[in-house]
Amino acid sequence: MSEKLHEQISALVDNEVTDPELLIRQICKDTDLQERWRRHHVVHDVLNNQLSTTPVDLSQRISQAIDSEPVHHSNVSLTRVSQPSRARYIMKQVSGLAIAATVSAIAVISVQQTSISSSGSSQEVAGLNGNTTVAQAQVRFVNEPQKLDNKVQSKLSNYLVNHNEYSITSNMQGVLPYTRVVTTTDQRVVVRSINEK
Amino acid sequence: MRNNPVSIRFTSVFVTFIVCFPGVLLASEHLKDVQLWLEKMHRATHTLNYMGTFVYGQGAELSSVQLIHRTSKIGEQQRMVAMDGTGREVIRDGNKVMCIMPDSQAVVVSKVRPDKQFPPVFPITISNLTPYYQFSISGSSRVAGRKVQIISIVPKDDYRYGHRLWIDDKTGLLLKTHLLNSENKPVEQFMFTRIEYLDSIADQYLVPQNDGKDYTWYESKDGKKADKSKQVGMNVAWLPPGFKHDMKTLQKLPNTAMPVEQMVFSDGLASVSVFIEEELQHDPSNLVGSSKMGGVNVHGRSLGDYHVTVMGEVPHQSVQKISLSVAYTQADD
Repeated sequence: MSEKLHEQISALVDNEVTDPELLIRQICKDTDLQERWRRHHVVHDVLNNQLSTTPVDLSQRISQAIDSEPVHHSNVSLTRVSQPSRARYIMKQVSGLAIAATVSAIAVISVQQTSISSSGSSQEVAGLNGNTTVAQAQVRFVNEPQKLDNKVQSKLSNYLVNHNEYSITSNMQGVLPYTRVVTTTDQRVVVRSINEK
Repeated sequence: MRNNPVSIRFTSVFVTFIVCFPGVLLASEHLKDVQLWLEKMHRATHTLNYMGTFVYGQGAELSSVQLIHRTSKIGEQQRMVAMDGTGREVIRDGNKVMCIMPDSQAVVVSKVRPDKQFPPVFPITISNLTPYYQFSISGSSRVAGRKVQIISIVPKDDYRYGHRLWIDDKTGLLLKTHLLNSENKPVEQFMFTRIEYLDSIADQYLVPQNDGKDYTWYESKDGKKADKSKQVGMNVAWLPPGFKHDMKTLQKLPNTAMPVEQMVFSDGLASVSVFIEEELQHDPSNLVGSSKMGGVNVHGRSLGDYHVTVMGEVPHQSVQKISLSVAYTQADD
């Protein structure tokens, strides 16, 4: 993926592309570009404080995103649509994709009950709902899962070995617990949080 | 003729009894059967000699693993080698577990549970778990060319995972398993594709293929029990319903600078460990945030001069909620 294309996607997120149609077509065809588009959108939303800081009812948001989508049939021909509305149509498709992708990004991040800030000026977020709201966290984001450092992996494997020894499920299943150590070569950290208090 | 009210009441109680009693008996018998199958599985897992290959899946990733397991005077011996990736190996020899990790260029040797008896006692009483799980025998099938019985364990809330177990009808060994989320979808699965039961297994099969000579070794030495007076005053304020405190230990682990306190909580089936380690300065080896290792979810965070890491075979939200509920009860001297 070229640097120029990255810039174009970034510009598209900011509505700064004068003729977006070709780019939108490219995004629709390429999953890497879709992923790039999703990430740019998350960052864009973050920078504009558009991410919710309250716990998110994901099912409701996903339902809303789906409800707001027109029903697309595979046999709908784009040639029957006039040029301006065709662009709008494609834009709507991409927007739908963006909504769904943003929701899925939020699904990854908001499950952590966190909010995100990109510039180090972290936002305070509420702890968990429920009887015990013990911790409030100030959270700095990573906008995508990051691979765990080898040292962290080693320590977690070590913890896991000790956990297995006392875990009832592990005791029952015998083989499976150590399989997690053997096969976990690509652990990722989902959210890095700092200054939890 | 008017019916006697006492007689009517007696008749209705009698009818209710007649209708319900077989159901209660059936349910009770049914639970007994599940209990027997799980006991058989547990015994087979720890006491049989077997070699095989299985596939292991988490999310969209699949791995293939070779396994050799035997029992001897010193207890269980086991060697597990990943057939793909970087070829991690785990060797278990009695109460010593060695993890060889080429990707981290590290070998971690842990001495575990010297108090653990062999063969281990089956730790589950099904009848105590019915408030949180439903158990059923879901028929029979075939795995790795062998007839299996299928046991289903379905949680009654979203704080724990479900299980589907395919148990070798003859030997009792677990040949296939699914760890299921609240949508009944597998978050982790493993299945033998080849299994061989043997009378004996030669030593050579249990020797690691990678000696880890050039790697960094982290090893827990004998007698490195931590000073119990240094136990940290931490309290876990929230646990999923039915979870109770099982045990607490303080020990020096191979690749930790400071002694680590481990608290284990369980509902009788799923377990969660809370590790607390002193962290006076930032330690880059500590997890900050969330991660997962197959069906085991992990959450770590700093708490004052300590680092808290929570892991268990429960959904992410349970692990995170437990982690965030950890708080001081008293300061360490």
